[in-house]
Amino acid sequence: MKKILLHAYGNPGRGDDGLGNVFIEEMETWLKSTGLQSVSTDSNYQLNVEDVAEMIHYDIVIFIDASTADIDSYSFTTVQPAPHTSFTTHSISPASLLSLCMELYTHHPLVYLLQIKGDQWEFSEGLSADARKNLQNAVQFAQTTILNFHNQE
Amino acid sequence: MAQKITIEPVTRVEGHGKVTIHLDEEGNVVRSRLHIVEFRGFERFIQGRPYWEAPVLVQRLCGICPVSHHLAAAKALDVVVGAGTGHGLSHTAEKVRRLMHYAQIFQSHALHFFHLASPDLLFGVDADPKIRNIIGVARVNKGLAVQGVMMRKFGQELIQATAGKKIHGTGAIPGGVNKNLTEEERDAFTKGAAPMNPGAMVVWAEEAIDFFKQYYKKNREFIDTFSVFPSNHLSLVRKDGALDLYHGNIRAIDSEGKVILHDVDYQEYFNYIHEEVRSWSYMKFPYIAELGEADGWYRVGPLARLNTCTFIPTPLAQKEFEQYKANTIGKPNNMCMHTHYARLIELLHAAEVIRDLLNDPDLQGNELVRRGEKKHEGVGVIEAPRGTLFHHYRINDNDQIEMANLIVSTTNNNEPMNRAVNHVAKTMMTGKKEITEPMMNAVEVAIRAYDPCLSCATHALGQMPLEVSLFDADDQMIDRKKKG
Repeated sequence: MKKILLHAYGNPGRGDDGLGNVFIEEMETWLKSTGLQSVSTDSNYQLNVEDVAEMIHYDIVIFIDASTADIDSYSFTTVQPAPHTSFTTHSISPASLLSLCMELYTHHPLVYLLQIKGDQWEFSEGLSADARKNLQNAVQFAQTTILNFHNQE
Repeated sequence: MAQKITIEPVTRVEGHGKVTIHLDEEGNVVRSRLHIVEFRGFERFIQGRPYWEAPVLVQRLCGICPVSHHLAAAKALDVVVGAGTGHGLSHTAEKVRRLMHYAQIFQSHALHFFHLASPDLLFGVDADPKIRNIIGVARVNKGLAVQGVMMRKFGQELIQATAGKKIHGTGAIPGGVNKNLTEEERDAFTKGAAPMNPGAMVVWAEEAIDFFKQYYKKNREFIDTFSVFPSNHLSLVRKDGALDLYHGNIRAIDSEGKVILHDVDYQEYFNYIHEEVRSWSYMKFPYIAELGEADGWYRVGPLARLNTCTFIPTPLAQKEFEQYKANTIGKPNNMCMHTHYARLIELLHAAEVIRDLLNDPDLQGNELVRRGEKKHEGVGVIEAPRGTLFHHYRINDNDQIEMANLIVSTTNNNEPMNRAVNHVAKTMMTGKKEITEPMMNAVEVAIRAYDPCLSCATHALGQMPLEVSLFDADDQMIDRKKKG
């Protein structure tokens, strides 16, 4: 059975930037109802280097982030490793994490990125109406995708 | 030609480090500025909220050091609920909070060393940025990289054990903490399989200092001369002058070591520290009131703390501190690159404090909260990884926050960071019409020493580029380079 990690990051104090965090709350409720034991969840403000030590315990890692990009409700892409880093410790991308993981450990998971389109980014708690709709679409997609991964055994 | 710079909304670029450099007609640098998004909006955001929500809400300010905001807010609200400051809490509450805070310092300093400092030390500051990064470090020195990851993980796990959930940490509450550290939780750290235990963390912190010292031996001229400028220094210190990152009085010294703020009670910080507004920046410029806007600016953070404190109250870090002080013959250190050195000494100190605290039975005590006569106003100050952090709240009769004033570490370092960038710009950009790679590197190195806290909204997909723009005497942009 494939072990899957859903790892969201975002700031729930910045409006729709908290999309990923709410996504995890909804998925946790769903996972409880399905009894799927092979799927774990995590949620934080930022990705960071120590996340590689967690990634290696999984076959599949799906990162979830809010997005400003011109996409439909959500987009789901495979993450390729890229040794790109920032001048600050306040940011590291999924691609960089995968790259770091591959340098440090022999095992590395398949990594995907689920971006959910947001709209409001000011200091506020709670999601905008558009973001809520996009969230529901993304949750439905994720549930189907996880079941597909699960049934691929 | 004199130029008037007006900041437009578009310059409030989130998730960017943005530098502007202006030249005169002869190509001389007339000014350069570092623009960082301010947090004023957050102060309005929490107005009207019940005061007890503040320690959770303020964690939204920074995804890298949410614990610092969590604790600074809790300390301010200790005063509001009548628990007083510092030792007003129960032993258990104060020590659980200290453990949380030193874990935060430990993981943040370890991250800085691994993410920002070690690539420069391993490859040199002029190396190709494609290899001069954490992934390059992992490629050539896997052991060091694994240490960085595991030190960060150790600190994060300690934070989770004391603060609770990553996103909604609730460990500190007004007047104390909401839980102690159980024996099982303690044992998970003290008896953790190697290397995830406090003893190993102390050894690794010592190794990180040795790593820096070896580099320093070979590159002394660079470390001692890059972006050096005199400044005042400010931090909390313990009553006896010891380094204390959780609680103390405010001490400030000038660049020669003369004390200019004599261990004042931070409940009255507003009598000593004022904030200047400048038209071109969303971020304020704090200064020591008595010295005025022009001369009263100061540095905070590891360099400042090792300048203001008299000693470090853990033996291994104290030994390193003595060697460090010998470099300036006991005088204040105004060398920007020594911030890395100071940060590593604090990393070792934090590891020692964590090791000792984990063996303290007070952590398993049951008196968690103390309260007394309620007040309508409170100030909490803490030494966050990047420097002194002020939280000030006023509460109305309905228990709602009616005023909040936050001076974050990056705001305290606003003027020093601008001076550092200006120093680099004047040295490297005078007479140039385009931004060179060495110039970009130098700006990056200067900013890295402070690791400013940027807006923590991650929808930029993990990208926080550094952008440098060059303007001619007619205020026309003649070059722009972006990195990252």
